[in-house]
Amino acid sequence: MQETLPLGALAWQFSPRVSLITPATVVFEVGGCLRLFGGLRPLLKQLDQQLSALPLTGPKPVMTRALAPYPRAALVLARAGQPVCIHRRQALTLLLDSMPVTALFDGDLSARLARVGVHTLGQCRALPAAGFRKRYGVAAAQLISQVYGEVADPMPAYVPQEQFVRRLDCEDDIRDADSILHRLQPALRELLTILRRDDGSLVRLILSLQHPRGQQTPLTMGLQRPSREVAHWNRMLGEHLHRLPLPGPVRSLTVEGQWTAISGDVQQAFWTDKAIHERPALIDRLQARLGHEAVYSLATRARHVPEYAMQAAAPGAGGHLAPEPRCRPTWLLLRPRIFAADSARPGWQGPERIETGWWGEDQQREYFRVRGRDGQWHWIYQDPLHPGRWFEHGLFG
Amino acid sequence: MGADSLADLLARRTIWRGSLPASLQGERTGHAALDRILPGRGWPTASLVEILLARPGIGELSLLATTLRHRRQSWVAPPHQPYAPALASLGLDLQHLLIINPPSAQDSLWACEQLLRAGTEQQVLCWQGAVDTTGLRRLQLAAEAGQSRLFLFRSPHTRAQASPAALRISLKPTASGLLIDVFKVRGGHPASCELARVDDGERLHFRSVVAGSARHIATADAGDAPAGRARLAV
Repeated sequence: MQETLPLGALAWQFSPRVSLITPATVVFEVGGCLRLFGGLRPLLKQLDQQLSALPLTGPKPVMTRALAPYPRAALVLARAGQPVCIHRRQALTLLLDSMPVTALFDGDLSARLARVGVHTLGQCRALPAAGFRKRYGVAAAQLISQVYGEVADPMPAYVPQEQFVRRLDCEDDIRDADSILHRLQPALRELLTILRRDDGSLVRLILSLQHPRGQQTPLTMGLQRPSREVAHWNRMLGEHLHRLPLPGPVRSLTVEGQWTAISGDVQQAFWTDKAIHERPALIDRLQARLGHEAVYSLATRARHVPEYAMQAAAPGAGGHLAPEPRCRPTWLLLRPRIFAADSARPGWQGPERIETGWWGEDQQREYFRVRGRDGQWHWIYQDPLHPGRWFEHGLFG
Repeated sequence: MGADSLADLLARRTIWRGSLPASLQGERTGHAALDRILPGRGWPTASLVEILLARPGIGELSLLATTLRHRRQSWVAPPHQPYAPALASLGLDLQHLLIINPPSAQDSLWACEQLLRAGTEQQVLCWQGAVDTTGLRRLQLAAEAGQSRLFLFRSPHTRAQASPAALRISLKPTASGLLIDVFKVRGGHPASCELARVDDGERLHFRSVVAGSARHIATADAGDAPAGRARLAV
């Protein structure tokens, strides 16, 4: 596998506005971060240190860094091999005028320009603008303007690769959750430093435990709210691992972290509401031990058939998505059961007729509210086309 | 002990007298007749409340309707599927309601304790009633620690079991509604009241049975006066 230069990640440590032009070319804005690093000189010093510490294989490549007021200008200067720091626009324009067109255009366009005797950017600018646009394209003219900072120059933003995969080998076969957790600690600490650097928070941790004879046990730990607390990860992992049946000893494990740049930290109100901050962690803990499906919220749906008027939602994501119908039971029997109804119908309330589903499974029901002999309030129905067979569908708790 | 010295002792107010209403914080139940017989004039806060009933569907949730409204709460091991449209029309905030279905009784109690201790839930309702006295004690302590309330729904068979709950009531359906028997209450006296269940075509809810509740309170007071005196004499 070809190792790509981690230039994007490197630049990301210095600036939030990074564009990776090619795997070996990166442009980033430092104007906004000078104060953080204590000025330009310390920043460049740190940058040079980082560059010289890059893990490179093979012959050492030539690296040029250039600094200019416009990104495209810096790019041209770096490509032309000019290790300069230019602040003044006049000096920049003079220098840019002497730069070769090959630093800006691809080989084909450079060759075409060379054929008409144009070798530098200054010569390009000396040509009549309308003619240049017509002959060499609007894009080429645009690039020239961008180099000189005459028009805006939006560049694709670099998004840090939000992935972390480590394979950990175990010296001895390990069999219990606590040992696995212990073995994971160095990787988790490393992950934490990456998160701190990238200002990220963990969303998901994916483990794969490898056993002898190629067996694997996968485990995915999702978090309700992105977190940067190793203690919380450990608690969750502990719950998950203790529940996990292992088919054999663990030889090695792979851990993958997925995170997001969105911080899990919420702006706190002065009168802080404990629940807003701590409920997600509580839900994580409950789900880790009881199972993911064991914890949920409820939402309503606009459906006529009672059993479809409700759905389970992710914890905390429930809500009223439909107006509530009248007189519904608080307990719903998911499987209606046969109800021995009194044919005299003493004190029955109803009926409420529900007819729907003509497009598929036709549903016709007549619902009544009935007080049973044992004091329970039942919600029962019959199919008006097949009267006399009563089903209990709910209880009024 | 002379009458003067006893009067002095009482004047110092260092002795709690059973016949005086204890200064307990309560939260309105929404039923005047029930509020009247509870010492804090409502559900006790930060404590365990046991509700004994033989089977669901007799109005146990309508009884709690006021305290269920606009609350962050969790329901642990409900006996049937809680039906969202009905809960919404009761005024529950579905966004703040968690339903938890633990696989075992032990897990239910663990979940209850976690929920109570976290202090994130304003109240927890649990239908896993098979709890021993030690377990009840843990739940009561957890409720106090998290300043949260636990309504524990249990079978009437558990009535004889010793319990540290702040309030224990049993619900019995009657011909017109529900008889609420408050048989253990911290800082108050056993009493009972009856609520009539009304079906107004919108929902089923409760209305105090005025005559009935007055009679029940009267009997409760009459029955408790000697008890108060006896306690003082001890």
